Amino acid sequence: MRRYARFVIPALGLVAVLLGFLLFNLKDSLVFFRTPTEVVQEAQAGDGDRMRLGGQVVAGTIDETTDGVAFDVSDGTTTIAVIHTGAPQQLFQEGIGVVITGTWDGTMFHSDEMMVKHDEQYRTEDGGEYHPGDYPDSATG
Amino acid sequence: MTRSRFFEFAAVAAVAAALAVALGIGEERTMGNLARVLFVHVPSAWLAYLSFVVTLVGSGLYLRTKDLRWDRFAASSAEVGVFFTTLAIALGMIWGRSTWGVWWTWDARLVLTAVMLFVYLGYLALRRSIPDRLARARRSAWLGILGIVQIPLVHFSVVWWRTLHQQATIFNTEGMQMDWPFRSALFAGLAAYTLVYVVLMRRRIELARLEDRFEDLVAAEEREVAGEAVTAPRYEGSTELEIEETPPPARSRRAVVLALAIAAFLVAAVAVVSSQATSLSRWGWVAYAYTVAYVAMLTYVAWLAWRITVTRRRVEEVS
Repeated sequence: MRRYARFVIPALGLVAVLLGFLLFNLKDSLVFFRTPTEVVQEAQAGDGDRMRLGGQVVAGTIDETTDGVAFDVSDGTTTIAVIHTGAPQQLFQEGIGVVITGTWDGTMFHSDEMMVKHDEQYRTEDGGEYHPGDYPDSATG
Repeated sequence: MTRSRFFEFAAVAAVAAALAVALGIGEERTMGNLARVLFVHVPSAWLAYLSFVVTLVGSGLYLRTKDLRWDRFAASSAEVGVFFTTLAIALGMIWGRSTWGVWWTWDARLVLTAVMLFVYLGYLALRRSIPDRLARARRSAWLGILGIVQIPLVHFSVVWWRTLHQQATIFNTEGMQMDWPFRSALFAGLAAYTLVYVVLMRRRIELARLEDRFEDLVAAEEREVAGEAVTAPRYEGSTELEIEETPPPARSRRAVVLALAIAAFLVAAVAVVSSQATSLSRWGWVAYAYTVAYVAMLTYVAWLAWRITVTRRRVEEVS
């Protein structure tokens, strides 16, 4: 057996184990953020653990505060009130996705870091919606 | 018009057309002008995928045929792929800072793309570390084949894990959620970058051919000096015969200084613009991303041309 092959076999095994671990074992815990439903159901309120919360900014709930902004975040099932300290990101607006980092006290989410999550939809300014089968002119209705 | 001139002309024309479409269409509803970064970021990521698939094909064909042309093909594509993976990450960072609000975050798509970059950098490092050409070709072919597992991992990371990065635009399960102006700009970008890939590959393969020719000539010269007893170092195991390595001809010091100065200037420019990030307008971000993309591409083209010139000169000196 070539000297090099003795190195390749354990390397292959290592890659296989890593991949398997990544794909099957960590599949549930490798989430970048938690949804409002998961935070309400699973998070220990008031233990001060920092976590990321992701959802959509509910329309009509944005209020400026003295040192930041207050708004509600929803995943369609559960809505959580958020108090954010610091300037919001430039794309922050009603209906956009946000991922915020902070703590959950049981009734409010106190965040001090904000990231805006935009989706994979690209729409023209006059509100064209793409539906499969549409033609260019009917898409800008 | 020669064939290589034809491809270069076509690539430049296609890039110009893609630029005109990408900068000429209207604004996106949510992101405004910032959406325009998509039309350079996604084509760069596409070329990263394409390059590494081509490396896989070249590696497989080399192992089947043992024809070193396929080894050069695979290696050239890997280098171009490393360039475009880096570019996709850099443009992604600019887009991320302007839309998400952060340059980098430990998101599955971002981390796995970085891992892919480092594995293929490892492929290039592996090639440089093996002087025996056949052993180098065989071992790097295996790495070129194994490395491919990362492409589905990177591409489906946004489906398998909950990420900050948005879902795939083109291969979306619910169809492409994109209005027509953005689609035309995206596909124009993909077509133009694919032509750029063809141009870069032709140059990189030419360089690889010259490098192999140089190695052959040096080996032939040593064989003449040493007499018939020594076989060419082309064959595996021949290093036991203790063939002295010829030191590479000294590079022009002025060229090295110039390259370092250009690199320092580019790094400084990127650092200065990045530090002004909060005051950049949306058009400013677009200009930043497009400048980085095309300055990087022109620099790579120039670097390839320089390496070809230097290697050709070395070949002429030896022969």
